[in-house]
Amino acid sequence: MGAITHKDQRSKFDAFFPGRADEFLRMLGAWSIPFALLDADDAVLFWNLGAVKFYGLGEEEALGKKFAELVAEEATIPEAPLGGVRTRRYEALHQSADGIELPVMVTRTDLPASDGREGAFVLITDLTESKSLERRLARRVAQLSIIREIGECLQSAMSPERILHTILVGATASMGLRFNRAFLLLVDERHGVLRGRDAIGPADTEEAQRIWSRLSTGGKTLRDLVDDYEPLIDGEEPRVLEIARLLSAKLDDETSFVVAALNATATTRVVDGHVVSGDAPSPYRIIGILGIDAFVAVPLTTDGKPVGLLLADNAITRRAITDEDVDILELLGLQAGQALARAHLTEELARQVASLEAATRELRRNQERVVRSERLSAIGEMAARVAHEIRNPLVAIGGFARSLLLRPEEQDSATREALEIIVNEVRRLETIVKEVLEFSRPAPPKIGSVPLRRLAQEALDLLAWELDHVGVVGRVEEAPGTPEAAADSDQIFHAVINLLRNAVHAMPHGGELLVRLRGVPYGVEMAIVDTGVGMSEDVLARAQEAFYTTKPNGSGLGLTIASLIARDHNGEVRIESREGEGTTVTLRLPAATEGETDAQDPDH
Amino acid sequence: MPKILIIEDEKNLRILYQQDFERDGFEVVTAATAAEGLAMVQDEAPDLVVMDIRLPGMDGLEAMSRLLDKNPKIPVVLNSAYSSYKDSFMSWSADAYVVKSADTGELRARVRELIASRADS
Repeated sequence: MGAITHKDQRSKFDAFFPGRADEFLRMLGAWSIPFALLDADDAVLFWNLGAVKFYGLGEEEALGKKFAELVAEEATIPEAPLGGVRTRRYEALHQSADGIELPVMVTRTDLPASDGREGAFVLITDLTESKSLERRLARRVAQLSIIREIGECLQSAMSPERILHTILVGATASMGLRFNRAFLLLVDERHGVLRGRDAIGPADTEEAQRIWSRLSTGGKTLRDLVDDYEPLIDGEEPRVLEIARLLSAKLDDETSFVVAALNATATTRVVDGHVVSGDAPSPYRIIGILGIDAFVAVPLTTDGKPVGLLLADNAITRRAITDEDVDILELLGLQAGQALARAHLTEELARQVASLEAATRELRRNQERVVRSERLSAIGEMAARVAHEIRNPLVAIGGFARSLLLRPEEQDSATREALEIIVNEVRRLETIVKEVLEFSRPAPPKIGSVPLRRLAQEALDLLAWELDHVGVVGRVEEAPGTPEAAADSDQIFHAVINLLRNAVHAMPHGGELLVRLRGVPYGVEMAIVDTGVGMSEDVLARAQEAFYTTKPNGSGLGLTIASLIARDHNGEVRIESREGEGTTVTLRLPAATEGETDAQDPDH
Repeated sequence: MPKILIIEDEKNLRILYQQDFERDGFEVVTAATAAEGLAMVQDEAPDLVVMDIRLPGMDGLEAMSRLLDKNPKIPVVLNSAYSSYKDSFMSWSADAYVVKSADTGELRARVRELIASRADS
């Protein structure tokens, strides 16, 4: 088939150029595509116009010269057979008209000459254009893989700070987008500001040397660089951060270049001090801050809403920013927008989780409070029943023991001692019963305005004997402007008596009992400070439990009753204690309002 | 010798109070229920009644108001394990309210006071 076709074509060819080889060669000679005919020794037999132009060598310079020497051929890609056996193709570098080495593809077809020796037809294709395309393609592929790498880094970035760093490192790293400097401005809606948040890059050539020498300590991936990102340069905040902050602008400032660039739908480019794409106002101020009249500003959006501006320049190398640079920066901007949106969501989520946790804690605390008060009321009810049942037998036991003691002539001293023990123990049980019954009968407080200083002094006076007995000195201190409490005077008095008693009991060998009063927001605090034995952590933890006591004669209800009374007043009792140092019990009550004070004061 | 009626459902307390008041020089009669007590007020004409509030069958406060209907001048001392009745307005008509205690000192003191003031009038 091939032979027939060949013969067929040959006959057609002959029909076009019967015996007109010269004419054929002249026609080929006028072609702009360079070609040559070589003899068996590779010497040039024919050199067309295209070759003259391409190599800058006239026909007379070329004829008879060895082809490879003539073009200073340097093979780059070895020859490969093409089609039939006679044609080969290889890539090489040839010295061109202006002395530059150009990539070419040589197509060489061996031809049998009439003398039986072989010659060759050599066609040269200029690969400069396709080589540059190839290079651009390779670069684009590399950039896309960088963008992918940056994307992966952004995906795994957990904090907004890390996202900012990744974007900036990506824009400036040598294996990244190779901008000299990059600045990130983020929208701060709450303050109505587009704020310069972060920046990366050297402030001047000198700093560039330091940074780039540090960054170029080879073999590092982008992720390594982000990991290594150190916001401080030699322990100082880099000047670019200061520049970033200077770039900030009010969001409602219509004259601001950065705000216009932020709200633009596409990238704003400034070349030679003029806005060449986009219609932002004069970048005059920004040029002043950046110190360069060429830069790119890519708006970052999430869900179509502008959230930030990524600004990049080549302030150090002054390399012109190409369309490619802009394309790739836009890709980075796209990813940055998404990453920031994700970070925003993550932050929002974290905030919600935190508030949920807080709510759960609050709920648990309330639950504990409810359980505790339910337990207390259940205990209270139970205790009241038990107390009543116990009271009558106690009266009988104690009463008869006392009766017997009234007839001393009937007992010996051992019996008397036993009877006294019975009487004392019954007295103690009766105290418990009494407190239980008080505790199990909560009455709603009758709120009035209570001057706590007077109340505390009265309580100390009432306990004067108990204080003197163990050598405790009591004293009341009042901070200036302490308000009166909104409280039921009787109930609070009862609570304070309980707390003071506890304090005295904690100081069996004497000490100082200080009652300190002061106003707090919406309330008033009474701190009862003793210099007594204090409580261990275990004891402290159980101190407010009903019936818990460390005292041989205690009911374990004093503090519980005080707490319950405080709670009925929307107040609270807090205990702080250090073993061996003393205890501070703080009773907080709502402050009386002016109205309540006036009502009690007849002069007004 | 002034006569005291003790209305108390607890047998041991009846014995205790009887002993204590007799030692203090009173004649003592006792009743275990409100109904029995009301009958004894008629029959024995005591100078003073010491009564518990929670009694089987009839509430002590109810019993007291019936008792006072019949004999408004007789002093009544309420002697209860419950301090809570102290605030009940029914208790106000009693001449004294004493919370039960093994120390009968307070109860005996109030009884002595009331008997003394009655003797004066």
